Amino acid sequence: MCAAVVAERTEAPPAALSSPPEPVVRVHGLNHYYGEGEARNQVLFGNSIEIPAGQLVVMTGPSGAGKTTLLTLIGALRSAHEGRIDVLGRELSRLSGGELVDVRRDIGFIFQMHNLFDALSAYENVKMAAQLVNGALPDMQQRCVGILERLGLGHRIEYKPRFLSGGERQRVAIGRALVNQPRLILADEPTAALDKDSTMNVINLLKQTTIDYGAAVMMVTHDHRIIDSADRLVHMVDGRIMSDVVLHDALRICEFLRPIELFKSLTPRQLTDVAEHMKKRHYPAGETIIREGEPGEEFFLVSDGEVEVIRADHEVARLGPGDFFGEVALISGEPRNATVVAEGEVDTYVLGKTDFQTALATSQSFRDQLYRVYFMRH
Amino acid sequence: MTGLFHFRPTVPLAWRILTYDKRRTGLALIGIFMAILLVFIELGFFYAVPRGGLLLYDNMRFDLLLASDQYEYQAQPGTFPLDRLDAARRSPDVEVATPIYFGFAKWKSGEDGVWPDVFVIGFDPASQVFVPESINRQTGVLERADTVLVDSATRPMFGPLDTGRVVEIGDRKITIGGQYVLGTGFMGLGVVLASAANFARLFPQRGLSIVNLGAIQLKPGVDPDHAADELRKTLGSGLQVFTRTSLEAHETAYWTTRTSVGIIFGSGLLISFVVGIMIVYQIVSTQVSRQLPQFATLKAIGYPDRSLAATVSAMSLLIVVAGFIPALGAAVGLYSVIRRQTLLPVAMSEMRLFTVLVAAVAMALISALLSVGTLRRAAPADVF
Repeated sequence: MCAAVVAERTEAPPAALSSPPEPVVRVHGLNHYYGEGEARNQVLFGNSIEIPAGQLVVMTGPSGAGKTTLLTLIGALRSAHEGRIDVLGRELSRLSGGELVDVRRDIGFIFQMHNLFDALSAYENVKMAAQLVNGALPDMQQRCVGILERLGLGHRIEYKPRFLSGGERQRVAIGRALVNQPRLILADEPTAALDKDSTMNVINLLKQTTIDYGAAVMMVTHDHRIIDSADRLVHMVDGRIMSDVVLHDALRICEFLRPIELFKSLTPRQLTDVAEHMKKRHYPAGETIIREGEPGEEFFLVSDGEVEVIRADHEVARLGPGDFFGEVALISGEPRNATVVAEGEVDTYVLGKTDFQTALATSQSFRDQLYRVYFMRH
Repeated sequence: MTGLFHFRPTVPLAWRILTYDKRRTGLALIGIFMAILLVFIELGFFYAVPRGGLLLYDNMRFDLLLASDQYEYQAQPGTFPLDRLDAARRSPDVEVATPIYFGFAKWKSGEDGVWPDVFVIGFDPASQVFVPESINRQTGVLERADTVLVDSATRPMFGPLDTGRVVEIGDRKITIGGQYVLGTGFMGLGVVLASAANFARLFPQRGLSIVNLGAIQLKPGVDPDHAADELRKTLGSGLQVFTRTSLEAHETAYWTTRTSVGIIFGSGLLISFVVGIMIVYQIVSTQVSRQLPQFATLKAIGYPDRSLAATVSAMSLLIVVAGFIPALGAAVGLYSVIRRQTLLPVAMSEMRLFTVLVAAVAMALISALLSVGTLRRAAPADVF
């Protein structure tokens, strides 16, 4: 499947190029350690990631990869040692203990263990979270009952945990996390104890929260049934984000690349590798994307909108979705031979010079195709 | 959001946790019931002991009490010359000065041939120095030669205390002229009142020129503290002048700090208090430990530490209050039994109730403080 691995190793895009909405989570250059002195052990290495509202992010990776540590740092449950974490617009390292508690109140936490109070009913356990948000009592009661009903527990509201199955308990815990409609939901193996139907019920509910009120969901899981529902896959190994794939973009890039003559000779794997290294970038109307005479550093694929190609002050072409530009300077090593300007709002997928040349070296036929294109344009 | 808002779940959650585990909480209640009951009992004894020491004085009329500087308590009063009391009587502040004589003698007419010691109090019957009506209406009896009045609380080992019975005290045949109601306190197992003349007959080698106490009544309107100061200046060294307040302080200090009785009940009180703390701490910290992930989860989702600490405190307070109420009822019953069996003035007073309630709340708060340490182990990062 081409769309399986389209990576978007996120660097913060140049501010001048676009003004996208503030991400719910922004992590930059995050290092973290356990232990002290000689026993100090680095567990996270320079990780950066941004999670916009409305995205269901699934984190995978082997045990000890640092997924849970990253989750606890984003959840303001630990303090980061190096780097910066912004959650819901607040930089965590600048907040006092009390302010961190306030941040946590805006996050929905789903733990692997349900951690319900045995002495409280399902409704009362959910109410423990609901009453963290000030509001009228009837409204709070309605929210508690409503979320339990949506989780298929309408008939178990007054049951204590010991009278519930493992899956039902976990659903109560999920209800506790969702009852306040948090803008960020952090979940660690939330479906580990659930059967297939319950899992799909929970995932659909989480997915619905991303649609209904734009919650961002960050979930650690090994459950492949969930991966199919994810908007984005983040894979961690040894404390590093090794791949970060927006599945919607991946599909779109593959759809664009596949019919292009240049990429036709690539195997699905090679096509995926190219797509894996492409980053999405937005340009406002009138923005110059590349300028004639400047050195070539990136290859561009137009996703949405239209660009104008200008050579010697004359428009020579207009390119739209699926068209690409910028490859000539990368092949020849010569300066840009044209200026490209965004006609309106334009979204592009961008491949860096190094990644482009790596792809070039991957396939002899790809290289031949490129040189053919190059000579056609000259 | 207000700070108060976050305390909303405190009491309900504490209540639900405690009532959910009924067996464990039931055991805790029995434990704290016993601890609080022990505090009541020990405190009852602790305060009753000095009251027992003050029993005689509470039933005497005086504003100042003159005693030797060797005075410890009634049974070890020390002595001083009568003319020192006469000197006090000459003070312009003094209305009446009555000598009081104390002595121990063998009561040779006990049950089964035993010779218990009897405490003999000698005084001038006309002085009306004692308050009980049962004494004052029998002053004529006291004036009779070799006749005494016997305290009704004198133990059965002294044999029948019937009026007219002739007993042998020391080397004299003495007639029991009647009984009076006052209580023996810590004066002995048996106490008799005698006129000064009869006292002199019982203790011929001593005479009446050496006294044990002087009961001084001041003229109306005279400030006892001022008069005491003046007497101290006039009488010089070798004597103590007690006001009622300073006498009570002296007796309380003596019985609570210088006798084994006070130390035993005082340390018993302290141990009961500590045991109470440990019981509550044990129960609450066990509950917190058992539900550490749940408390960590509450921390993680945004409950401030103070809110969870308040929940733990509420658990402690609920246990203690639930244990206090039956302990109070049991203590009232036990005080009654103790009064009957020991003749100590052990009684439930508002102050006693309030003191134990404060002690119980202190138990709860200290144990809560210790349990909060357990709560600190609830690390929200660890629940992931």
